[in-house]
Amino acid sequence: MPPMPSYQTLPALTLLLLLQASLPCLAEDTSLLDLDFEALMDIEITSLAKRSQSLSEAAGAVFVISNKDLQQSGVTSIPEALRMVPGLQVARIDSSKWAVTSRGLNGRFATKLLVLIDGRSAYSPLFSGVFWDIQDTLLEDIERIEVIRGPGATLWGANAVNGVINIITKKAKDTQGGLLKLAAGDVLSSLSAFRYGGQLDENNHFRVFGQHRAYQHGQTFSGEAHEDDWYSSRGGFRFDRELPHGGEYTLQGDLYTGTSGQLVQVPILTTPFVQRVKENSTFSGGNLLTRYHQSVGEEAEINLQAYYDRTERKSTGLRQKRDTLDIEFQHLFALTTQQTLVWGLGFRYLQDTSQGDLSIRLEPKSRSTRVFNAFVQDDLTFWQEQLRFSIGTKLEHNDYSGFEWQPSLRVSWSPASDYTLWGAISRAVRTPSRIEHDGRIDSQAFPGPTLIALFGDDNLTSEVLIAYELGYRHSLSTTLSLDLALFFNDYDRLRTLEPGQPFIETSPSPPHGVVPLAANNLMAGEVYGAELAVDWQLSPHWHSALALTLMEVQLHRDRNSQDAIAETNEGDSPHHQLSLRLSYTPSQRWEASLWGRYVGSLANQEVGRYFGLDARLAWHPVENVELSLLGQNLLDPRHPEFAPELLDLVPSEVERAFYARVLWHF
Amino acid sequence: MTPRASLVSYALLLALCFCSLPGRAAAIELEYKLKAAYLYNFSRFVTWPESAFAEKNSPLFFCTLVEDPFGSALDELTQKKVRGHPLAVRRIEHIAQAKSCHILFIPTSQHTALPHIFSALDGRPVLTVGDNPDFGRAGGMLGFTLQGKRVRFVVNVQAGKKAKLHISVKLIRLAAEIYGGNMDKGKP
Repeated sequence: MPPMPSYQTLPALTLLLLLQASLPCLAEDTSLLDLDFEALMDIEITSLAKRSQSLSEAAGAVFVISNKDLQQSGVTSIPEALRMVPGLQVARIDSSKWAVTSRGLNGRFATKLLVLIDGRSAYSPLFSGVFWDIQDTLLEDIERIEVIRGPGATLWGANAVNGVINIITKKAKDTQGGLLKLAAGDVLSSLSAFRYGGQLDENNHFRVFGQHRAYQHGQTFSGEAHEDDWYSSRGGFRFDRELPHGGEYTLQGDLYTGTSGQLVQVPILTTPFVQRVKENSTFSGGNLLTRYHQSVGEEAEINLQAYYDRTERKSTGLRQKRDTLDIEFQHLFALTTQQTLVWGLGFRYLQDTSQGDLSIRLEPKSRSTRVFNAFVQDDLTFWQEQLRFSIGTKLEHNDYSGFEWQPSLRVSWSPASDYTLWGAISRAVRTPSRIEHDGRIDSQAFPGPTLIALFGDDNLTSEVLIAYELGYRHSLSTTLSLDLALFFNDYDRLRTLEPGQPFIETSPSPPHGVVPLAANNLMAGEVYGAELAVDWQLSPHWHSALALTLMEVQLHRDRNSQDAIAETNEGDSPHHQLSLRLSYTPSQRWEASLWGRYVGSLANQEVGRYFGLDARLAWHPVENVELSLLGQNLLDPRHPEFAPELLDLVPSEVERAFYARVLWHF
Repeated sequence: MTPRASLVSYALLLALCFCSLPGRAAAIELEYKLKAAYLYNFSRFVTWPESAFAEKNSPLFFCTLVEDPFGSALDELTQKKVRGHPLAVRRIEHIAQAKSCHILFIPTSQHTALPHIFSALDGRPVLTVGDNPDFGRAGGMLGFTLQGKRVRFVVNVQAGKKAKLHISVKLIRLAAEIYGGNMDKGKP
C-alpha cells in the first residue's frame, strides 16, 4: 500500500515529476517528413493498452453523447440530454431541479452517481448528490459526454457506485472565432450566450464565454401556480498550451450566480402543522482548474490536475459555503508489450460552513474533511490483443468512514474487430454525506405538538455494492451497431431511518415531543436489468438511435430494522424506459429531428407512466447561421415526473414548451 | 502557513512549473507523427485539377474535421511545399467549411456521419483521409490501418476518380488493400 501523501511529500512529488520530464528521450531528431513511403512503412509503433483502446473494446457499459447529439436534440441543459442514455433515470422535479441516477435508487440527491466536468467533481458531499442548476456549461463547447454505467470506482473512487458522467469540453483550439446564441420560448423565457476563441500563437489558444438564462415558473401537481422560476448567469474561460514535444497544459475557470425559486413544505408547531413557504435561493460560486499532460518517452505518460472550487447557496432553510481543493496525479506506463500499469494518488480538502434555520440543522456548523486516495490498475492483453484483463483497486481514506477499498476485475474478448464480449466484477462504496453524519431535518409535525425529526449519526458506515456485469458490442455493418449490457447489483448496508426513544424539547416553543428517526445501515437489496443501445444510419440522410432500459429493484430490511417505509424506495425507479431518436438531413441547409420517449410509472409516487415527444427543425440560411424551432413534451400539456424525498420540496409538472433559437458563428 | 494556504501555493507552484518547462526530450505519439508524414506524402502523389487552386502558388490546405489528433505534427507540414504550393493547415468544425480544403482528415469519431459528409463533398476535388480501414469500404479515398505495429493505408480508387483526383499508381501499389478499382482486391 503506497504511503499517504502529506504536506511534506508534495515537494518530493514535484521533484520526481520534474526529473521524469527531463529524462533523455527515445525518439529520433530527424523529421519524419524527410522519409519516403517505404521508410515510413517500416517504422514500428508501440500502442499503450489504455490509450489506443477504442471505446468499442472497453470492458464496461459506455455511452457517448456527442456534440452533434446535443445540437440535434435541441436540449438546453445537460440533464435533458441524459434522457437519451440507456441505463440512466432522469426525472425533472421543478424547473431547476432534477433527479438523475444510473441503475436505480433515484432521488433529488441520488447518491450513487459521480458527475465530472473536465475532471472536476460536481458531486456535493453535503447531501451526496448533484445540484444540477449550477452545472450550466455552454452546450456548444461540450465535445462529448461519456456515460459509464456501473462502478467506476477504480479510477474515480468512492461514490461512483452506479456510474460516472464525464462531461468533456472542447479544446480552445477547436472553438476559435465567435459564437452568439439567442433563444426565447414560453417555458425557457430567454437564453443568451456568447463565446469568443482566439490564439496568442500557434501553440497557445484561449476562449472566453458568457451565458445567461431565465425560466418561467410552472404548476404544481394539483394545478396551482408554482414559484419555480429561476435565472442564472455564468462566465468563464479556457486556455490551452501545446508544449514543444507533446504534452499539453490547460487552465480553465468559471464564475456563476443565480436565483431559483422553490416551494417548500415546512412543519410548524401550531395548527395546521404544515406551512407552504416560497423560498428564493441564491447560489453563486466559481472554480479554477489546471491540468498538465505529458508523454514520457514512447511508453509512458503522466497527468497532473489540481482545482479549487467554491460554492455558496442561501435559502431561508439553509445557508452553505463550501471550498474544495483537489490535487490528482496519474502515471501510466507499459511494463511489457502486453502489460500496462496505471497508478495514481489524489488528495482532496473540503471545508464547509452550513447554517440551518427552518427545518435543517447541522452540528457542527463548520467542518473540514480530508480525503486521500491511491489507485492502481494493471491491464494485460493476450492473443494479439484479442483478450484483455484489467485488474485494479482504489484505496481511500476519509474522515467519515475511514479506509475504503474498491477492487475491480474486468475482462474483454474481441475475436474480431467488429464485436466484443466483456464481463466485470467490482466492489464499490458510497460514503456518508455530511447531513447523514451531522444533520437534523424536521420532517413532519402533529398535534401534541409532536415533531418527527431525522437525525444523522456518526456511526453510520458506507453503503456497499458488489456488481456483476456482462456486455456485448457488435458493429453489424458500417451503418448499424448495437451495445447490450446486463447487470446484477448486490447492495448491503443501505441507509435506513430507525425510530428511537421520543423526548421532549422546549426550544423553539411551544414545548413539543420529538420522535427521532436515526440514520443506520439496516437494509440490503438487489437491482438487476438490461440496457440496449442501437445506432443505425438508415441512409445517407436518415439516422436513428434507440435506447432501451429494463430494470427491477428489490429491497429487504434487516430483521432488526424498524424503518417501515425503507422498502418503498423500490418504487422510485421505472421498470421500463425507451428512447428513440430520428433525424433527417436532406441537405446542408435543413435538418429535422424527432425524439420519442417512454418512461414507466413510479409506484411509490403519484407519477404515472408517460410518453414524451420532442421535435426540432433547423435551417441554415447562410453557412454560419442556424435558425431553429423546438417543441418539447408535445404530447401532453403537462405531466409529473418526480416527487422528491428530502426537504419536502413541492414538485412542479413538466410542461409542453416551445422555443426558437438563433446561432451565429463569426 | 496554514495547511490550506500551503496546499494552494503548492497547487499554484505545480501549475506554473509545468507551464514553463522547456519540454525536453519527450516524443509526440509517434503514430500521429507518422500519419502526418503520410499525409504529406499523399499530397505529393495525388494530382488535383487546375480548378482546385486559384493560382500557381496558392496554398494547399490540409483540413481536420471536428477533432485534430495530430497535435503539432501537422503544423510542421507548413514548412514544406508541394509542386510550388505552400502547405497550410485548417481545423474546421463543420463539413460546410470544407470548401477550400484539398485534403480532409476525418477522425473515427465522425464515422456515423460519413454518408452525410461524402454527399456534402460530392464531386469536389477533396482528398478524404480516414483513421480506420473501414473508411475505404465506406467510400473514403484513403484510410489508415495498423498491420501489427506498422501504419499502413487502404485506397478506394473509384472514390478518387469521382472527385476528379489523379492518384498516382505508385500510391495505389503501396496500399495494403484496394477498393473500387479495376484491379483485383488485395495487393497486386
